[in-house]
Amino acid sequence: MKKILFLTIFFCTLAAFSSEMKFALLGLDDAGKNAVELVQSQLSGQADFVERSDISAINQEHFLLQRFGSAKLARLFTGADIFIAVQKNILTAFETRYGFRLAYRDLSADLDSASAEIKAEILKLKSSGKDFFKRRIISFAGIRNNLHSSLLPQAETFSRTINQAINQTPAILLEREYLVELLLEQNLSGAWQEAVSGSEIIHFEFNPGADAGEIIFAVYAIDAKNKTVFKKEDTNLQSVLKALNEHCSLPPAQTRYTLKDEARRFASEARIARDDNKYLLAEKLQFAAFALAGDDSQFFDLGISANEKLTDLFPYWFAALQKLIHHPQWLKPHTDSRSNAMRIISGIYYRQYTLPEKLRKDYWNFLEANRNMFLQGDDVWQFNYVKPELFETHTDYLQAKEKSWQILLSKKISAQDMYDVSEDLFKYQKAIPSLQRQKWTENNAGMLRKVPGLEIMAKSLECNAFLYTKKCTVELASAKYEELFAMLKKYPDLHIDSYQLYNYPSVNAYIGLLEKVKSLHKKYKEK
Amino acid sequence: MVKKVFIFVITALFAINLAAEDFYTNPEKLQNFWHNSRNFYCRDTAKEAQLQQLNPAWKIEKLWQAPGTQKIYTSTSDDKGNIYFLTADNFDYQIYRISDNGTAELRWSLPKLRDGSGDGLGMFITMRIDGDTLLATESRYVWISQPGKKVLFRLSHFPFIIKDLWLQDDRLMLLGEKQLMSCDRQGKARKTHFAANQAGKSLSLFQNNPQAKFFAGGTGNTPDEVILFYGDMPSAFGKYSLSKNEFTEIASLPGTNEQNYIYHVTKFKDSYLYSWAARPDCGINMQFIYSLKENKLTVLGSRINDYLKSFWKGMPSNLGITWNPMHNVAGPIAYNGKYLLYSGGNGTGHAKYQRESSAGCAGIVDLTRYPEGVSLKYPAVNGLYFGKDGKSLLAVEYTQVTLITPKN
Repeated sequence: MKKILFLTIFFCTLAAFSSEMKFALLGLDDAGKNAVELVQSQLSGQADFVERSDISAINQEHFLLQRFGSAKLARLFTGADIFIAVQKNILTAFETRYGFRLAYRDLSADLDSASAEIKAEILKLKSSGKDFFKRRIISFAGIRNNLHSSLLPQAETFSRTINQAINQTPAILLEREYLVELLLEQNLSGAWQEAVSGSEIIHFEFNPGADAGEIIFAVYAIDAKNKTVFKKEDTNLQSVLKALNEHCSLPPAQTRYTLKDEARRFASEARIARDDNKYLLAEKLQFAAFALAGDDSQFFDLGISANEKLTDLFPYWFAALQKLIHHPQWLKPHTDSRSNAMRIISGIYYRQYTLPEKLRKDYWNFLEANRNMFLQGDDVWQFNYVKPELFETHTDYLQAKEKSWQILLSKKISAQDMYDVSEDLFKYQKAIPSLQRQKWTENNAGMLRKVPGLEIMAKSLECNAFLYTKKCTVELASAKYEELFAMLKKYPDLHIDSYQLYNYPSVNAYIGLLEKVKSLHKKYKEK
Repeated sequence: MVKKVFIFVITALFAINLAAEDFYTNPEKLQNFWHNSRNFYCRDTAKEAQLQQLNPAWKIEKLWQAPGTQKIYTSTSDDKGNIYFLTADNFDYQIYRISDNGTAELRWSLPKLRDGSGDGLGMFITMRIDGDTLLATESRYVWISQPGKKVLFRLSHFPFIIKDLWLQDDRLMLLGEKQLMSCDRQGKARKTHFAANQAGKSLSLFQNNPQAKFFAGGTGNTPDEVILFYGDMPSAFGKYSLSKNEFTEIASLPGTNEQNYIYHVTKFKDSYLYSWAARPDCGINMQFIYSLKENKLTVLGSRINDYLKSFWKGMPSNLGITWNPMHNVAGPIAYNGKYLLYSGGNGTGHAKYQRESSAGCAGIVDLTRYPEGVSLKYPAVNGLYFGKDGKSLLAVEYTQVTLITPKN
């Protein structure tokens, strides 16, 4: 069975390299099936069609019927260049390499007329040749309704007309969200890449006219450099649509655009979506910007989300991280892209169990294989960068943290620099299981005391450990902290901030202790 | 005769200084009054006596009292110094003019809308008197008077909330947060001059500062020129050319938006008066006057001179007086070259929620003699105006209109 499948794919792939354009015709309902059968028999010899048996193999699989998926699978299984689906008296044609939609037509209700229309469409596509990208590509951004609310019913009717008309222009209609989905799977390349980056974004406006009931219809086409390349205004919608149709029939402009231009356009759309609190859309668009301009870290500005479901965000975040690790330099300390990556990693870590198990495992396998990328930096930074979010289990985190701590202790790092890890050390100390914490503290405090200038750190670790014991009270803890602050005068050259001496959240867990500790610290600082 | 004049001058100066000294030597008293002046909004005889006692240099007389629970929403004055105020009963909006003899006469009325349309829900009433024409807005509606008619006409179906309106070259100009539209007096022949949502009519300002929202405007020096004020962080005002669709900034201002600031722009003759104060206690505030003819901006007073310098980069050189730290000036202002009147907390003109200010006070300041020239301890009002006699003041309050005259 596998052999047959392999051979089918092999021969179909060979067929794909032939110069003759090959069509896969699929009727998705009874009327559609009848129409495509008739067309296929009528056009026999005039156009090259994929065998019906291969088509029905696609048809049998429910998931293959997904609109774009089936287009791409049609190429995989049948070697077709163009996939045409007919359903509910609508013809939709896709090119099969990327699944871009080439045509969308309403068909007549009677079989003869419908088949004639399908035939005409096929012959037109055939005559256009395989260079699909030589056609104008448009994306439809939407309609801005700037009218008074009393004109809403008319505006809704006109919106429907526009939506239908947009689908039927001679241009290739590129849905922006589909492009984002496509970028999740593959990189655009070659002529398609140029064509997509040269696409125009179309938007309509309903604007107030000279009196209260008048509407001025306006359409604009904007290129990747944000330049208006076409506009038409009129009080008659049909004349605006006609002008747009004529514009879409023209070959694309010769202006050269780069994927970076397109990335900028996506980034600016993401910014607008974020300002409108549409965080999921913003993340998708920002991902597209990053995927298109993969050589520029400024586009890696993801991870900003409020209450969106992780299952919705994950595909874009994960794909972005996978692209990011090809650029280790972007994950060096103090880079914006690194902090953005950690924002994503934290976002996934805290909600990881909402993901399907397979995705979760895939993610951790990825992180396991690439963790070192996120731990770049000198020994001090490495210790700080070992975070629970980078590890699937708590044990793994503790082991890695201990390892980096031991490395730090073994190196001759200046006392002043060592205090840079205090805050993270307190967190690590808290994460250690309670039965081991005391012993760990004793051992490490002992080691630290041997290093000049680190006695204070040793004492602060002991004070912090005391907070997690059952015998801790506000009075006893304050006495310990007083001893700690008293030690400060021995090292007037060391600059140690309060957060390097005590862990705010842990101290604050005891009512009144934080205020007491603060005032004691102040008292000793003044001395 | 000379003796009489001498006694009058001495008494007046003494009376003004008495109040001024109280403010100057006890600024805390001023601030306490600022916070508690709302106790005087509903006034009985005892409260009136108390207020009079607080202002020994002034004679306080009630000119008009709103009947029942009726309130005064907003007030304005025209270039001739006539004062108008807007009130409403259950059926009509009514606009009164205070005549020269001090009585309030009903000038125009307009039946209240009963069609349940959402357009009226904004309750954002701006009122202007332009020559003999009354212009007012309530959300997306415009009210306009016609010669010889007592009933106002309502123009509707404007696609944005109108923040300000005026007549220019006999066309009605309507300013929205991000739009400027004009039409004739019948609401026809409409023309959108700029609109952020129209790709062909947007301003570069909206690209550079997407949060910018216009809140006030008026005529410029020529029929083609419009003066517009916008708010954001920071805000600014500038000239807009109707023919070129270009906005050119004159000066940037401290941040202004409805949530955090109180701001009022009043046009008087060829000048714009601007008052700005930061909520909640208006402790940071400034007032300036912009002369159209001279294209000159003069700061009258502020609590934030150093802050202003960073905005205006040395323009103008004189940053006006600096209020003492307890002097919280807010609300619309009036200025006659020497005296500055301030109305209080929210004031009028942009009385969004049509209710009394939660705090604030009205007052008069002799800017040439500050701080000694501070006088009048009065609760926040809708508007405080100079009387036509050049001496008295007219306070349009929330439920009454009051004449305040210096005692002599």
